[in-house]
Amino acid sequence: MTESSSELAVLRLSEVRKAYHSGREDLEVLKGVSFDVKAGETVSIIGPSGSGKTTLLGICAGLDRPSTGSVSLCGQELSGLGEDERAAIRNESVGFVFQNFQLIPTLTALENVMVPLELRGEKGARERAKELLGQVGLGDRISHYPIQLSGGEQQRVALARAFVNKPRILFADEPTGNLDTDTSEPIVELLFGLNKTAGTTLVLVTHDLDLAKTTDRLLRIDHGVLQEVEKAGADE
Amino acid sequence: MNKAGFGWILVMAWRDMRRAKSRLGLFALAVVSGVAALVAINSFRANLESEMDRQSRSLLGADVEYDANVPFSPKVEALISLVPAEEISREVKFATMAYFPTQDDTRIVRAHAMEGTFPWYGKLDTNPEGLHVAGSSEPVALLEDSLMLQFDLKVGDPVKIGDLEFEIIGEVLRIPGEGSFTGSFAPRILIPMAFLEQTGLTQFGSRLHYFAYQKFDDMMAEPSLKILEGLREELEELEIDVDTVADQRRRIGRTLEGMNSFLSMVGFVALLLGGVAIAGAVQVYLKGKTDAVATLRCVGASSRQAMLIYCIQISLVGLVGCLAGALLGLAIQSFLPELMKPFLPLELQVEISWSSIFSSLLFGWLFTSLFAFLPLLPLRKISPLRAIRASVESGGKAWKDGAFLLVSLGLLSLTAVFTITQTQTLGQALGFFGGILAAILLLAGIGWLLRFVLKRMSFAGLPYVWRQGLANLHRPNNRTTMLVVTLGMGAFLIYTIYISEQSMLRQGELADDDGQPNVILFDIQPDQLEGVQATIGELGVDPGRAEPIVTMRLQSLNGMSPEELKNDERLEIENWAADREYRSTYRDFIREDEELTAGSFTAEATLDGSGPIPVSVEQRIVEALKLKLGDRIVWDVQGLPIETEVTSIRKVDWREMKPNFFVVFPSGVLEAAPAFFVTAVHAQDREILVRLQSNVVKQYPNVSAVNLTMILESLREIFDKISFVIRFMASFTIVTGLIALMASVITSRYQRARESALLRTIGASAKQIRGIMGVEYALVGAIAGLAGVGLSLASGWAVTKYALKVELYIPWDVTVATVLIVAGMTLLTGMLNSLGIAKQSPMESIRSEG
Repeated sequence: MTESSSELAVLRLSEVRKAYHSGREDLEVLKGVSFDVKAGETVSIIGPSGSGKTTLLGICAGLDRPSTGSVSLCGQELSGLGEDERAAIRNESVGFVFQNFQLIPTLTALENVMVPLELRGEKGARERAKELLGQVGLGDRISHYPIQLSGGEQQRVALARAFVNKPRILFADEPTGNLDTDTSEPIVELLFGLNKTAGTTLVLVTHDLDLAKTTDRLLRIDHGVLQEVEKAGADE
Repeated sequence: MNKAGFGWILVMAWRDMRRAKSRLGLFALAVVSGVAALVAINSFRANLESEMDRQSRSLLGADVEYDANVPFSPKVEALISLVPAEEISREVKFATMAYFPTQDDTRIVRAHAMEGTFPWYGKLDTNPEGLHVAGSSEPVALLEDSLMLQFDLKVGDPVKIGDLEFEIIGEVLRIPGEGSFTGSFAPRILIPMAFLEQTGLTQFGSRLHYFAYQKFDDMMAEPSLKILEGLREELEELEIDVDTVADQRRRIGRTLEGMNSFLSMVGFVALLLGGVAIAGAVQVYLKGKTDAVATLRCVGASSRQAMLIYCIQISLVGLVGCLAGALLGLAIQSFLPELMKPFLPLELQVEISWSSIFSSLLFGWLFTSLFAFLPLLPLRKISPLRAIRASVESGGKAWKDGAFLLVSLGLLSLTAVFTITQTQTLGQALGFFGGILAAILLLAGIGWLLRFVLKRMSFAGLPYVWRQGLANLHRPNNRTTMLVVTLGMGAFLIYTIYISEQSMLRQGELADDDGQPNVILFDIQPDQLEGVQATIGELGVDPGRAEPIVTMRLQSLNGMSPEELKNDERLEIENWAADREYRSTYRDFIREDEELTAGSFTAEATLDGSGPIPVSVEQRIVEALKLKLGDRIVWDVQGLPIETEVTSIRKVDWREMKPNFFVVFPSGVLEAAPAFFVTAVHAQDREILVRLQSNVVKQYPNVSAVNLTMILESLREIFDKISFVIRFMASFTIVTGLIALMASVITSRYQRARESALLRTIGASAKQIRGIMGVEYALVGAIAGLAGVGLSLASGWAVTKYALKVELYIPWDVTVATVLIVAGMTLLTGMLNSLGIAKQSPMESIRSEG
């Protein structure tokens, strides 16, 4: 890896290991994972259930800590940071899209989208959130609560929330996992559309190989070991 | 750290609350009762304090009061005259029979023979206003209003006291320094002192209480008090009680303070239970917020910010509840003076005490907020990882968390401070605090045990509805322990009062039994005995055996004077037993209803100086004076010392309405001592009873013929007055318990609705679902009732044994009914709040709860 590529890396993992204690045994979920993601890249992480995808995503996004190894997110080394400092980095530079949407049920669609901006103390949060909701096609449903929206609509709100703070990197965890095929397609289009417009780096965790192939790079994780795969050979 | 300030946290708290207003409102309700009780009692107390300060002199009606059981000797009079005073008044008080010729009926009353212009401070409240009897040259009387009402008397009617007939000129409503409660047992009759002699009641054997009052010159009050203080010791040595305004203020203050303390502690228990209830409800409420917190953490909120959002919500809810409680407390305070009127020695005007309201409000709010913070603290530990992996648990045991321990310590300190400020002594504070804590822990233990047992028992043989209902009591998020504690505590407080009251009343109830004496005649002089017995016999009533009574005092016990006995802490004797006037008898046998428990009874003895006189003592005095066989007691029998030895111990049934005695002398010793007689007889019916009373009183006015049934009724009335106040306060804890139940049912509604929907999907009927909930509520109510009532039996035993000194009486039918009532109320509250869940269609439920 060259010096210049290191500077461009938005996300860098080096020899990351994660082990859980289970009774007397240690269960190693990640076995020395290293990779870089450059600014503007789109990367998919695929793998079977229990392979360590979600664990890897959590560590990449600073939601969890590795047992050993280092993670650098948006130029900042996470290992020395406390939970609240990592939260501040997420607020500043990271966006999330979850499989189960994770909207706050007591907030309206608009308020859900406003939260990341409000946390930054930025003015004009309402206008920006409205604009984003308009872009995802929910301009007329901004006052609805999550319970009043369909699954697809909830995921659009989640997309708007993910992009509202103009993140440098977006983590998407099975963004279509809870949606049917008809609803999934427009969501994927929206996700990639917004990503392209904003020039955001995207890390996508998915089961869906077709979806994974739409990203620039494909990483496969199996039994805690990560390998870069050619898109052509991904079907094997 | 992100840049969102406190404003954003407030906004988020508000946004999050919008859709849970009714649920949070219910949490607020849980604290209303406790705060209302505290505000009401503390405002009332402040009101009373300031009123007592304002009217302090009217508590006595004079600047100083002297009183004694014997007429003041010339030496006492000389000492009193040394105290410079502007005026002096005198009064003689005594219990006697009043005869009402218009009704041909009698009643024991307390006569006040008055002379002079007392009271000088405060008002002798009469109807019509402004009446006085003291200076009257006619035999006139003022009767307590309750007496006028009871015998349907009116102004102008006669009332006979002793040998003299008085004309009723009006009602007396209030005497300075005395609450109307004072007259509950023997209503008061005020007569002029000038006619006391003519009543013929001042002869030997009558128990008269002599009073003198002085009014100081305003300019001379200080020096007069100083001189009085100089004479106090000498007067007290002459057996004269001296009371100044300050003494009276202290005494009344102490009594009322004791009562207020008790009531505010009951209020505090309601608050405590409200705190427990709110903590339980908040815990369930916050469980539903875990995902939202994880999401907030994911998008960059700090753990502090996330926790503060809910902290503010809960504090706000607590504040709303406390404010509502304060308003309710103010409303209650306005009618507390009416409720407590019988016990108050002064007229009380309701005033708002802002400092009491504010301090109760602040305390209530702090207390409930701290309680609610306990389940809030774990929110800090929710990992943002939960947003992508639902199975992630927030780690760590609560008790290992420093903040949790800090809040718990805060709660304990607040409770301790409150308890110490409410009770007079540290011992009392510890006793109350320990007692309440023990009761709560015991109830919580019972709740825990119930869950533990249910979890491990197999109910395979039971119908499905029962199995499911029983399982609900121990499944996650159950509120079993909390409900057992709150409802059980209410039942415990109310039922303790009830059985204490019943045990006390039971004392006299045997008088209602067939053949048991229902009239007791006392103060019969030796020369009247034959005549009185003949009068009784004329009505076909068995006059029974009259027992002679000789009054005496304890001069020494095993060589120690009463003072030495009291001062020696190792002896642990009860002071009253050393000081009291003993009314002993003599006879040559032991009555059938007396049980000889130790030694042997000596039937006869003589005062020939050959040795101590063998006496028989009763079990209760044995306990009070820590007596044993062989102890030497010297009695002061009206000036003559008689040395005795305890040779037998008897046990009498004090519930028997017969003349019972602590000390029985053998025949041949006291016959020459001045004595009077007492006898108990049984009148077959009410008509004979009334005739017996009036015939005896008419012929022998000094003899008191007391209707025991009426005494019992008076006792019941007194208890009713006291217990109403206590029940009123205890009901706050019951209300809190029911609100806690409502909160828990509504909070877990979501979970229930989901389960019901699942059950409905797989074919359960609405009836079955209702059945499951019914089993759960009825059982938790029954266990709470059982636990509370069970505890109250234990505390009732302690109260009756140590405080009331009567035998515990447990009305089993009412006991069972109480448990059923608690279970029924719980069932009803639970079912009413679950309405609709059972009927909801599966789809509707799944959709609405998302």
